Amino acid sequence: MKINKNYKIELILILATLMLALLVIGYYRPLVISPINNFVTQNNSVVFSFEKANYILIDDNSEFSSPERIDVKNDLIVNFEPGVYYWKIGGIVESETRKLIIQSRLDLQFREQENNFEVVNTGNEKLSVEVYNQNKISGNVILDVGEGTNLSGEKYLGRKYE
Amino acid sequence: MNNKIKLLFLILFICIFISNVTSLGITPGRTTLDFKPGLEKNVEVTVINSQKTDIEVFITTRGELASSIVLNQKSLKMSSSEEEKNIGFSIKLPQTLSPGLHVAEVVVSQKMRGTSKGDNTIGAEIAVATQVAVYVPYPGQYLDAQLLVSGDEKKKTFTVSMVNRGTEEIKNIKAEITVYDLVGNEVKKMNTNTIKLGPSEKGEIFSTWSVNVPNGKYVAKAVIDFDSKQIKVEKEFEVGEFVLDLLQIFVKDFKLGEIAKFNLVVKNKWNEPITRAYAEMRVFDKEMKEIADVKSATYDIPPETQTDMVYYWDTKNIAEGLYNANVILFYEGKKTQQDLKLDVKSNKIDVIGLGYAVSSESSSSKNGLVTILTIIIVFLILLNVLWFLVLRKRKMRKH
Repeated sequence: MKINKNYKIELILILATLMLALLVIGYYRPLVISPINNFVTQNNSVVFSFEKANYILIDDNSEFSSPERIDVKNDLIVNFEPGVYYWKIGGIVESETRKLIIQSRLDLQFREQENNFEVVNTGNEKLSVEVYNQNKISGNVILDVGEGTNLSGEKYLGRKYE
Repeated sequence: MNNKIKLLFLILFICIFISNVTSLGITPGRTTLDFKPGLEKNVEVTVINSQKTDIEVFITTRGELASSIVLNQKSLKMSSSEEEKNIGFSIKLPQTLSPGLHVAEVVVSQKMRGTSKGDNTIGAEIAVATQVAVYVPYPGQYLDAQLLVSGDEKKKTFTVSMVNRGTEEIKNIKAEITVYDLVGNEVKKMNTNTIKLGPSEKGEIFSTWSVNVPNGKYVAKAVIDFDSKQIKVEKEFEVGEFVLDLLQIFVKDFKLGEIAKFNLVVKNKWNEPITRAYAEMRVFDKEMKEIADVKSATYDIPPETQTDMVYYWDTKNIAEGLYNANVILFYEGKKTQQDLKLDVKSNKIDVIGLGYAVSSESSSSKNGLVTILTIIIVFLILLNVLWFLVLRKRKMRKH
């Protein structure tokens, strides 16, 4: 009878320890909200939403061999170049790893000017723009993301800059 | 009536503006394939009609591998309600190709409407190209490498990102990275980890550096050793940010109504000189009306040096009290602003607000809770062990 009582106390102690341990891990486990795993976007700016974290690790490989660490407690916006990225957040423990794909988007915008065109790179990749006159290449300009320039030509061909 | 006219003008303006803007996009910008003899692959790309207008685009191929591409369609119509539309093409690679990179392009073009400018009519064609890049492996070992530098002014990570473009596995890849300052003095030497890469595999080797040098520009040079061969890559990088640090502002020997001499202590933390730097201070009254705008002379500040910049403020007709002010430092095409308050008294001016009051969410309370919970858990575990031992002893005594 006494042994049974002892076992009961033992059981209560073990359960209490386990529950407390789970409570601590559960409470302090970082909560990853967005973006979802394998998120694909053409937008360079990505909003990371999470809770209970102290930092975010971002790398271009899932082993996180050379991660970019940003110390942050709440949501943040990170600007990326097109590519595949892996990320996780960490606090007392680390979250699961999620994958993020920034797809390249080439986009050329032309605004008609007085005697020429303003060519603007509205995509998310640096562009090489060839200018043609009378079916012959007459120039080449490199446009950063968001950059524009005035050009005069009959044809403009934009491609990803190497 | 007035509102109606305004609305009409707005609509007219929007119509004119829209008609003068044309936009064409494509995604992705590049599709990469590893060469296999006779490889056949269907590729889909998306044409983007960002301006959401009725357009017709024409699709053509060009480049070295243009003849290997078969287009599913040669033109595409998109209405103003369609922002994106997919187009497909297939690629059939030849049986042999020389080692290296081979590219084909699928070009999407749109003819823009010609507009009259006096006697001339301007018309143009815009086009964007998506590339199909085919990598043919080099016989033996061939490594493509790129050096990347990341981190902040306290810690830098040097990453050599590599692709094995050869047909053979590379068993031992490591690098020695040396950091030089702008005059070529060696600042730091370090070694990376070692990895191996199979054909077409990508990988990284890296090394970290606890930065202990002044802010400025540096060059990292990596000598990559792979199975007794060597390649070199280098990258220029910066430590810290190119800023002129405003350390202190003080006014000495001041009497209200006279000219106040402001001393600005600034430090050039960069490893290059800053030339023709100057300071400007603007003072505002309670209604935020500007009451003074004063400038210093220009200064040349050598690297890693502290300098006093001086400017003067005539306090004639200025009453005692608290004034809003801002100090702007102009240097090398940059400007940094510091907002201040000037507490003007009869015999002194106190400058309030320089420096940063760092307030952060107290993590100590959270950490304290964790410590308490950890102590409780450890205590409970010990109690478990103790209880178990006591229980065992009692059981043994009974037996």
